[in-house]
Amino acid sequence: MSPVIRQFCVVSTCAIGLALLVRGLNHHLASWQLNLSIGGLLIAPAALRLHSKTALFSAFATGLALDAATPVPFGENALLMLAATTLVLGARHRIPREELSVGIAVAIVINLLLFSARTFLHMSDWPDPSSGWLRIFSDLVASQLFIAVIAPWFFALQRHSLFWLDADYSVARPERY
Amino acid sequence: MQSPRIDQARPYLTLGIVLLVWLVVPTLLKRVMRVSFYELQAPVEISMSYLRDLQEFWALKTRPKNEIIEAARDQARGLGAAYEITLQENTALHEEVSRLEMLLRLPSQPAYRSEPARVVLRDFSAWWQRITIRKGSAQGITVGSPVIYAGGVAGRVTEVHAYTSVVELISSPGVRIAATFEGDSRPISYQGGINPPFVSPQGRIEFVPLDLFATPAQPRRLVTSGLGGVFPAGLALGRIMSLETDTDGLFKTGRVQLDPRLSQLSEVTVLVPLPTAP
Repeated sequence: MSPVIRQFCVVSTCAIGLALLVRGLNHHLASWQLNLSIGGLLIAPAALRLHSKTALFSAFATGLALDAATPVPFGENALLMLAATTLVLGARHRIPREELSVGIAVAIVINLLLFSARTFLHMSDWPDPSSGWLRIFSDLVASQLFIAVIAPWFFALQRHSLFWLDADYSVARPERY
Repeated sequence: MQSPRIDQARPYLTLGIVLLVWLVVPTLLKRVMRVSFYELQAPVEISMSYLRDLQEFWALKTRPKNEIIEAARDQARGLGAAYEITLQENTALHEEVSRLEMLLRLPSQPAYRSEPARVVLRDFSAWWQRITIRKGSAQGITVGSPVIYAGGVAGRVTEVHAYTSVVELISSPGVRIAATFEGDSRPISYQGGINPPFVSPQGRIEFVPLDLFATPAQPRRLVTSGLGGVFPAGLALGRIMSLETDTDGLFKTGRVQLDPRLSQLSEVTVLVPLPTAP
């Protein structure tokens, strides 16, 4: 199996696994009318640290998995996550991307962008757009806090999964950007 | 060797190509991919719901049997008699309806088969409020079937998969139902609302005649009108807490408070329409 495909499988499985766990958590938070959205965290580790092809393919696959479980046009999340990954890939050579704190910050910023994009795409569905901001704000704050808490674990999970499944090529194949 | 500038532009190029390709991918292929991705994830969600049920079972096992029996007996005390009377009334009313339909030569009301289902997943975002249930096309669930629970109408089935179905709840902003005030036959429009955090789910009503009133002190019950052919008439939707006259002065608009149990659903019943006799 080629290195890119192996990394793609590991990274996508980790991301989709986390998405499923968060969906389970949202099930319990539903009684409080809260919903966590962690799109930024799902793509940040790969976009910062892995080969660009792996990052782009896994972002697209993870987005499709999210699209299948949500009532949005199929491909919406995938294309948004692909665009976000492209942004990170374009900027990552200018930031200390191996730092954990930078990774968490990037995950939070990307999540904010994805959340805002989704809000503007679906705002027209609301019966009264002016009354939805409290809900949006509370969901966003809860999501960002959740990302800040679990991001170190998720970054470590991806790194260890790549290592255990013999897909960590970061040392052998240094990237140009 | 390519220059770093071209290398850095490559992800943007990839994004553009994927976007173009995605736009020309046939809808059928997208549909197949969507179903495949959904069915791949469905077993995980179903397993999680079975685990939750098992957890609940073991939690109950830790309690003394006497305590559980007493709790069930307390709950059942009085309910049995009430249900018995309701059943008798129901039978008498059904006979009356059939007699009137025959006398007036009216088309008969649609009949339904009840299909109870456990809730696998609740997905309540700002844009949609949905639940996934553990029954699908294998159990005869059809798209558009009404879904009810102890508090009244829960929603309607919007997606049916092999072993699961997705129900859009009445608290979802995208849901519109023809409703009436209890005791009034004039139809009004109900729409799911935006649900702020830490409060009961809400909805709103429009096109309410000016002679109808409701206040938080004297709320009115909102029930389904039976128009539209999806929901049977008379099922509870919620309580109308306030009404305000529209700016044009022709109708009123109001806020509907839905049952708090709607946010904690763990079991619902799907009313599967029975095929009508020709």
